[in-house]
Amino acid sequence: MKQVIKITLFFASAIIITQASMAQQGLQVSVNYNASTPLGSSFRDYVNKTSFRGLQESVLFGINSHFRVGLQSSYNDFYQKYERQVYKFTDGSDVSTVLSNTLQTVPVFAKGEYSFLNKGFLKPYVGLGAGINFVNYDQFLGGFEYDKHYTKAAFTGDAGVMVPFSRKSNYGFRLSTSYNLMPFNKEGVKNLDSWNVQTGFTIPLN
Amino acid sequence: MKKVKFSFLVLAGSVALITSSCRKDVTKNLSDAESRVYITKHDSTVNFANYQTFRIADSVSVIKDGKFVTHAYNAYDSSMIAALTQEMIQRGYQLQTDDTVVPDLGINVSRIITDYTGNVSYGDYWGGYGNYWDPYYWGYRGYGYYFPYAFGTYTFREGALSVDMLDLKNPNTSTNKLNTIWTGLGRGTGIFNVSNVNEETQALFNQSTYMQQ
Repeated sequence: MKQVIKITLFFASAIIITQASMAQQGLQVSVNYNASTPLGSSFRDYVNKTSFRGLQESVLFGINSHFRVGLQSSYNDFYQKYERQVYKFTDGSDVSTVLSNTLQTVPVFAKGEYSFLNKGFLKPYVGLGAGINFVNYDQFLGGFEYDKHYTKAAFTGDAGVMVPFSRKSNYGFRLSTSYNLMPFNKEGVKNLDSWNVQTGFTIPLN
Repeated sequence: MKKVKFSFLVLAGSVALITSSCRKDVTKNLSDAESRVYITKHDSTVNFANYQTFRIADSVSVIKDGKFVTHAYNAYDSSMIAALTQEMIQRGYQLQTDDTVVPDLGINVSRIITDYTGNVSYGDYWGGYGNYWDPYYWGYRGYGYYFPYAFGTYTFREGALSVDMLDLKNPNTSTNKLNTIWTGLGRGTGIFNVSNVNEETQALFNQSTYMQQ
C-alpha cells in the first residue's frame, strides 16, 4: 500500500508540475503490458522464469516535436517454485522445504525520450531514465513467508515504435523493449537487472 | 484540466490495481504437503554412533502460546511415538523397555500450538517456562536441560511438532544439565494429522543422516 501511495504521489507531482505549461505543450500517457526476464546469475538463481505479470505506465511531456520528458513506472511480479529439497542454513540447521521465491519490482524513473520521426506510419524512439526501485523480496519456506522491502536506485534504457491509429492521430499502439539496470545486494541476491518487452497504447491529453 | 484529472485517476487506479492484485498467490499454489517445513539441528560435536539405547517419553507435551498445558496421548501422539520408535530402531538403536534402566538417549515430543505471529525459539519455550518433561522422568533429579547450540527463531502461525533428543549417557554433573543433542521441528498445514505421521518422521530422520548407531 505504501508503494501505491508513493507512486501515486510521483505521478500526481508530475502532472501538477507540468500543468502550467499544458496549454502549449503536449502531454501523453502510455499504458503498456510489460514482460520481464531476469538477467544475471544471482537474480536467475533466485528466479529464472520470465515475469508475465507486469504493467508499465508513463506520463511524458513533449518539450518539442522530438523530445519528451516525464515519469515512467512499471511493475513486475517474479515467481518461481522449487520442489522439496533439504537446505543447509548458515546457523547449522537443515531445512526440508518447498521453496517459493517471489520478488516484486516497482521502478519509478524520471525519463526522457527522443523520437526520430514525427510523421509516418512508424514513429521510432529511444529513451533513458533514472530513478528509484521499490523492491518487495518475498520468500516462502513451505507456507511460511519471509518478506522484506527495499528501496534502491534504478536505471533504464529503451527503444521502441509508436504506431498511430491513423495518419494524423496522436493515439497509437506502442511496442518497445528496455533494459533495466537495478543495483541490489540483499538477501543473497545481487542486482535485479532485467530485459523487458512492452506493448500498449499511447493517449495524448491535449 | 478534465483530461489531466482523468489521466491521474486512470494511473492511480491502475497502479493500485496491479500492485494489489497482479501477484501470484503463493500459498494457493501449494498443496498441504508442500506447505510443511521440517527443520533439524544437532550438536555437531556429538558422534551419534556412541549411543546404543533410547526411550521415548510415554506421552506428548502440549504447549499453547508458549505455556505448558498438559501431557497428552491422543491418536496422533501414539502414532508419532510409534513412528519415532521405529525410525530409531531402523537406525540401529535399541529400545530400552526396562523403566528402571536409564537409556543412552531420551526423546521428548511436544505439540506447540501458537495463535499469534511471533518469534518463538527453542530457548524461549524451554527456558522461559521450565521443562515440560522433568529431567527426573529420565532419572536425573534436580537436573535441567541444556541446548549447546544456538537455535534460530522461527515464526509460528499454527501448530508445530517438536522432537528433542537428550544425551542421558553424559549428563553434565558440574552444571546439572542434560545436553540436547538433536532437535526436529515440523510445521505447516496438517502437521497434527495422523495420516501425515510417517511423512513427518521420515522427513526429520532422512535429513539427519549422521544419526546412525
